[in-house]
Amino acid sequence: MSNRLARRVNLMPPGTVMTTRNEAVNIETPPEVPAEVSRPIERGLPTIGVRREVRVAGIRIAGRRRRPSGERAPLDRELRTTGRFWLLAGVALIGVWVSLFAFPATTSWWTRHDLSVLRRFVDIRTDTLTSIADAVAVLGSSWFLRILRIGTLLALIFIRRWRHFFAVILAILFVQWTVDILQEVVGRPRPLVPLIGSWEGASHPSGPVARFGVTVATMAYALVPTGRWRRRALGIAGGLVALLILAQLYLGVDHPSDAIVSAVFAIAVTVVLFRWFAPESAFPVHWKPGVTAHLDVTGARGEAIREAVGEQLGMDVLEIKPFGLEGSGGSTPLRMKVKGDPDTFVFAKLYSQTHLRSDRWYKVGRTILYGSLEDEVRFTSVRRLVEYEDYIQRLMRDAGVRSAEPFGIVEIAPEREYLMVSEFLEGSEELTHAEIDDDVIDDALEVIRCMWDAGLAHRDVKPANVMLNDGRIVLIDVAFGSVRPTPWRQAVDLANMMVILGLRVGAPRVYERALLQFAPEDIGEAFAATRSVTLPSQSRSSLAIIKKEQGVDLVEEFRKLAPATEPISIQRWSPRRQRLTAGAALVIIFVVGQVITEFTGGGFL
Amino acid sequence: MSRRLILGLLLTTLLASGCNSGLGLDQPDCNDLELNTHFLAAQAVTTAKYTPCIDELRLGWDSVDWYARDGEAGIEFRGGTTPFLTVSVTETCDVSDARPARSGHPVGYPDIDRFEDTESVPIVIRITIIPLGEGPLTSAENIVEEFGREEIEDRRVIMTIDGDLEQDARSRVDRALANDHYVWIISNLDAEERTIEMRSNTTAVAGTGLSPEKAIDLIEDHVPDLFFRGSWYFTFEGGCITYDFDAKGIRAVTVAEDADDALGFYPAYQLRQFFRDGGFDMG
Repeated sequence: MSNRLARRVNLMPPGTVMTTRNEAVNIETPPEVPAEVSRPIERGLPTIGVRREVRVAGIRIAGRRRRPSGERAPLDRELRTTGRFWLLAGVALIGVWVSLFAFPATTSWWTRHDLSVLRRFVDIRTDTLTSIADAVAVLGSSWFLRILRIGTLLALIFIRRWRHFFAVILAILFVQWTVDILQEVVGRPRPLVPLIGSWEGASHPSGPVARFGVTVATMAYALVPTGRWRRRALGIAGGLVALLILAQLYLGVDHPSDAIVSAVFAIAVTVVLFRWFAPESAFPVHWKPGVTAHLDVTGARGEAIREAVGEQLGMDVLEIKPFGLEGSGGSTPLRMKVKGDPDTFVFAKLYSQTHLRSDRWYKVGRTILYGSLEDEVRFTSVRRLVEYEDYIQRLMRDAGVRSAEPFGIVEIAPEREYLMVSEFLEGSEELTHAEIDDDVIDDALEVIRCMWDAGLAHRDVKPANVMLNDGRIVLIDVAFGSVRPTPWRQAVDLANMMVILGLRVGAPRVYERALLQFAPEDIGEAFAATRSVTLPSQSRSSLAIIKKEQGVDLVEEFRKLAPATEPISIQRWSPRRQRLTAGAALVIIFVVGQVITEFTGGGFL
Repeated sequence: MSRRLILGLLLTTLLASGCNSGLGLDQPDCNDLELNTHFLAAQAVTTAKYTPCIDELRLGWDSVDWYARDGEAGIEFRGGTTPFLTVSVTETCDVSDARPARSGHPVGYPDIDRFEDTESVPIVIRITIIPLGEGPLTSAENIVEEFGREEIEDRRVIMTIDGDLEQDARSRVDRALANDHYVWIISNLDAEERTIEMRSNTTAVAGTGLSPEKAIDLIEDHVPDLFFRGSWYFTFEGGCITYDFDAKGIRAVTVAEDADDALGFYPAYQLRQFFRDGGFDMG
C-alpha cells in the first residue's frame, strides 16, 4: 500500500512511513496510536520487524512480508517431478544421439548388446507366440493408430477442448517428424536376426513404438481427468507400449535400444508439451462441454493465493470463489472473503500466461478482422499486463473517474501469475438494470468528460463495465484504457456511453443532457466515428434487440440529433494486417488440405 | 543462456554431428558397397541376389526418394515434384505381358534376364508430301527446303516427298496414312497459290487450301503429348528388379537411355554372405 493511500484511509498516524519492506515504522516520536488501528501482532514471522494491524474499509490487514531471496514462490512451476524426470530423459536421449553421431564406432557396442538380447527372443519363437506377437504388433499399425487419433480428436472437438486438441496434434506431429528425420539421419539397418514381422524404413528410432507411445500418452493427458484415473490410464498405456516393444523384439524387427528410446522419447515429448502448452491447472480435463479459459483456483493454486495474499497484502483469505466468469475472457475474476470486522469481500483478477496468450490471439484476431484500430500491440509478459492495468486504474482514479479501490498486486508465480486485488463493489448493479434519472445520466457523462480532460480513453465502455454504486457511476475493467489515445477513440467512448444510456431512456433525453457537458460537434464526431467494430458486442446485441422490437435505430437517431459530420476513418490495411491476413489464409488452406488428406487416406494421422 | 538458445544449440549439434558421421541413409550408390541403404534393401527382400543402385544421377533428376519395407525396396526419381521412374526390387514379378528385350542380358550380368513392356509416342513427326504433277513437285521441294528442319513440340519434323507420279494419288495417300504420317497433297492450283491439302488419321488435323505454316500450326495444336510409360523387368535368382516408367514431355525422349546408363545392380548376395560368414543372419 502506498503512503498516500494509507494516509488517505487514515491508517497511518502522522510521522509514520511505509518502508521498502512494506512495514509501517515510526520515524519520529511515537504518537499515541489507537489500539484498534495499530498493534504488534504475531503471524509466525517473528524475525521480521514490528508488525501492525490496520483496517481498510473493515478489512484486516496485517503482517506483510517480503519474500527473501532464494525462497520459492507461492506457486511452483507446473513441470513438477514427473515432468522434470521426462525432460531429463529427453535430454539424456539427445545426449545418446549426439554421442552416436560423434562416435559412430559406438554403434557396434549398441548392436552387439542388442543382438544378444534379440537372439534370446529368436530362441523362444513358436507358432503360438508368433501369432500373439503378430496380433500385438497391430497396436503399432497405421490403421489402428488412425482410429485412435481421429477418435481422440473428435472427442476433443465434441467437448471443445481446443488447447488439448492442438496439444495432441503438436505432440503427434513433433514425434512423427523427429522419428522420420532421425530414421533418415541414423539410417540403422534392421536387426541381424531373421525378421518375421512387418517393418518399414530404418530401424532407429522405432516408428511403431514412438507413434503408439505418443498416441496413448496424449490420449491419457487430453481425455482422462487428472488423479487416480489419469494414473490408471497412464499405467495401462505404459503396459500396452511395453507389450508392443516385446512383440517388436520377438518379431525381430526392432533392436531393444530402438524400441526403448522411442517409447521414452514419445512419452517425454507428450509430458513436457502438455505441461507447457496445456498445463492441468490452467486447462483441467473434464468431460463437461464448454470453454474453460479460466484458471482453477482450488488445490495448489488456491493455497498459493491464500499464502501470497496473506504475505504480500496482509489479508487473511477465508474463501475464494470465481465471480462473473461469463463476462470475462481475459482474466479469472474472483471474489475473496477476507478476515475483518465483519468479514468482507474483495475483488481479484488472476492473470496468467494463459490469459497473456489469449490476449495476444485476441489482438491478432482483431487486427485481421478490423485492422489495427489502435494499440493492438501485445503485452510481452504477465507482469507488464498487470502493471499496466494497475497503472491505468490508478490514473483513472487520479483523474476523478470512479472505479474500485486497488489494494495491490500479488505475485503468485514470478512472471507467470499475478493477482490484482481491489475493492468489491458490494450492491452495485449494471447501469442497464438500474433506475436512471437525470443525475445518473449526468454522472455517467461526467465520467467521460473527466477522461477527456485527463487525456484518457477507456476503450471498452459497455453495459457490463458501467456500474451504479450508491447512486454514483463506477467504471470497471479499465485494462484496455489508454493514455493520449487517437481522438476518435475518446469520441467513441462518449458514443458508447450515450448508447448505453439511450438504451434505457431514449436518444433525445441523453442528447439533451450531453449538451450540458459536450459541444454538439463533439457528439457529432462521436457518432461519425461509431460503427459496428467500435461498438462492444454487448451493446450491439442490445441495439439489435431494440431495433427488432421497437424499430428504433438508436445510433441513427443520435446521428440525426447531432450536427452532420463526415464519417471518420478509423481502419487501415497496415502491412502487419496484410501479413496476418495472408498468414491466416495460408493456415486455413493448410488445415483444409490436411483434413482432405486425412479423409483420403494420407496425412499425419 | 535462454532455453531457446540451448535447444537451438542442441539441435544444431545433433544435426551437424549427424551430417558429419558415417551414419545415415544415403542414396544407394553402386560404387559404395557399405551403405546402410544397401543393407536395408538386402533385408527387405532376403532372397534377392541383386538390389537396385545408382551409378550416376542424370541432369534433371531432381530428387531421389529411397524406401525399404519387408518384401520391397526401391528408389523413386522425381523431376520437380512429379515422379517419372520408380525402381523396385521384389521377390517375384509378373512378366507374362512383357517381351524379352532385344538387347538381351544387361552388360556384365549374364545371370539377369531382361523383359520390356513399354509404350510411347513417336518422337518424330513425319509428313509425306504428295505432289500431283511436275509443278507441284517443285513446290513440294521448296516446302521441304523451307520447313524441313522445323520442330513441333520438341519433336523433329521429317518431311519426305512421294514423287512417284506414275502411281495414282489415292494409293500413295493410303500408304502414308497407314504409316501414321501426316499427308500434304499439292495440286496444280495449290502449287500456284502456295497452299496444300492436309490429311491425317486425326479428323481434326485436315483441311484444304492451307498454307504450310497454318498446316504446321494445326499439327501442333493436335499433336499428342510425348510420353514413355510401362515397365522393364530384370529377373534373377531370388528376385526381380522392376523399372516403372511414367515420363512425359521431353523427358520421355531420354528417360529410357538415361535409366539404362544411370542405374545398376548391387550384389546383395555378397553382403549376405559376408554377414553369414561372420555368424549373422540378414533375415
